[in-house]
Amino acid sequence: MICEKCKLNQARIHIVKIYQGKKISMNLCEQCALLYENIIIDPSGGKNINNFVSNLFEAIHGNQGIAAKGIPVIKCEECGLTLDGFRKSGRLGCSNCYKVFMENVEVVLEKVQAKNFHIGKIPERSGGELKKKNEIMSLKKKLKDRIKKEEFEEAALLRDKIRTLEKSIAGGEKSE
Amino acid sequence: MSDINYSPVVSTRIRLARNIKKYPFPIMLSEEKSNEVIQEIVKVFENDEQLRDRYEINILKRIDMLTKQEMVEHHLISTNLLNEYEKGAVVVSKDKKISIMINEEDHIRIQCLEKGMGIDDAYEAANRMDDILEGSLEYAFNEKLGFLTSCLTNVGTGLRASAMMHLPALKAMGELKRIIQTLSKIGLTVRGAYGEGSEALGNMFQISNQVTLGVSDKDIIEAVKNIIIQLTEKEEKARNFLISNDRLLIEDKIYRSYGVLKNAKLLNYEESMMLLSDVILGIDLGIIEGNNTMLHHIMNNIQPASLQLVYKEELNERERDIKRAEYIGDLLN
Repeated sequence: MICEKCKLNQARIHIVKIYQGKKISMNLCEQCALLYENIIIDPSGGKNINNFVSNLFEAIHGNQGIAAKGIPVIKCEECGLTLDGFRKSGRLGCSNCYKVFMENVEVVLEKVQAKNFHIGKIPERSGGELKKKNEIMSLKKKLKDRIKKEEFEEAALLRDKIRTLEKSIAGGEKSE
Repeated sequence: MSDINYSPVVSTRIRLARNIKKYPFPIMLSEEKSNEVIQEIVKVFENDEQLRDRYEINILKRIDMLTKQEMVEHHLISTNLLNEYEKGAVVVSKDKKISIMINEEDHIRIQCLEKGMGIDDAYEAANRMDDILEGSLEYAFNEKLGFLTSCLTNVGTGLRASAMMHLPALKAMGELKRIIQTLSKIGLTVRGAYGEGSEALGNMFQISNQVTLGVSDKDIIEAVKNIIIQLTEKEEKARNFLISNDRLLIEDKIYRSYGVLKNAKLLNYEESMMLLSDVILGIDLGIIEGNNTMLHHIMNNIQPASLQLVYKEELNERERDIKRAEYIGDLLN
């Protein structure tokens, strides 16, 4: 079967989309699937996931990447990994790389993951802060509510609680 | 068919990927720093009396190559860690159900294996080990992205849940391709459980989740469990169909394979796996009397490195084929 878009290559990908209740099906070649539908096929069938991630970069950014002249080398100061290194291996070098290469991380996450935020297990030690932040959020909601109802005494108590929690987090962040 | 031994689910496995906050991930780690990471983790086991008795610590550079290869074949370590063995270690529970790979792609890879449909137990055990380690080590964890891993395909939960399934009837009926395509759409992958080629040796398949971020641990386990149940049903239906279609043909195939395994003088790895698959099916269907746990054990031990360890000598390919035939013949006769 020939690709419906370019009418040149063999169609190797069958796409079925449900759009506003209507079923649309298409037969595309790999290039057109990427170009028009943003679909990338992992030729190894998931066996070689690291190559897959680094191939993703090539597909998205083309080969010019950061190797091109005149573009400054982006590098993680903590572990020394460069953006180029990340692209080639598909792997990050340390926790800090997540911040340094955030933009690229998000592009990859969009392709390989369901969503871009964690909803699984929270560890006791490093997750303690997250639990506190969640608590602060809910306390702030209550605070607003109290102020609206003009219950200022209760509101003051809540405000103190929030401050204590915020202080304990600020203390923890310094050690990061 | 209700007996668990006759289920196509051979084993289930949980893997959790974790990193220690203060160290770069293994790809950016010097050999010296790698040793520090190993020591940090080993300390957790050495400082706890109970853990010390129940776990064995293996520093890979102090172990001979054949034993390391056997560890790969028994899924205690990965090929990846074998290649980087100078920087790695593995902590294995005495019952071999839990192994903790150190300095593979991530600092910590907790793996837990259970026979049959034991995915909940496996998760519980892995989760407990995770809590123990976290009690002493500060993990790389980010509020938004969860557990940080070297590869973005593991970030979030760091959880991979998988099942090894024996699916000879679905394979024979040519239905697997379609199933694999469907599964990939819902974030699951299927691949051969043995060997490195694309073909699934011995009709043994590995089903696992691909997505790790934006889904809870529980959701991942449930999704994989769900698929295991569905595949089990499909496989059983396919088996019933094959039997009702031409029982004699199936019996003939199984007995032929059984005969070859019992009597052959030379058996290569691929052929042995194919024949063993037939015999396991024969046992499942009640055509041959036997114990398929033993056959799974044979499948493990006839892999090239494992076989050499069984015989405690280095063997070339031809010698392996001879010993493989001998080993299988002895156990089946």
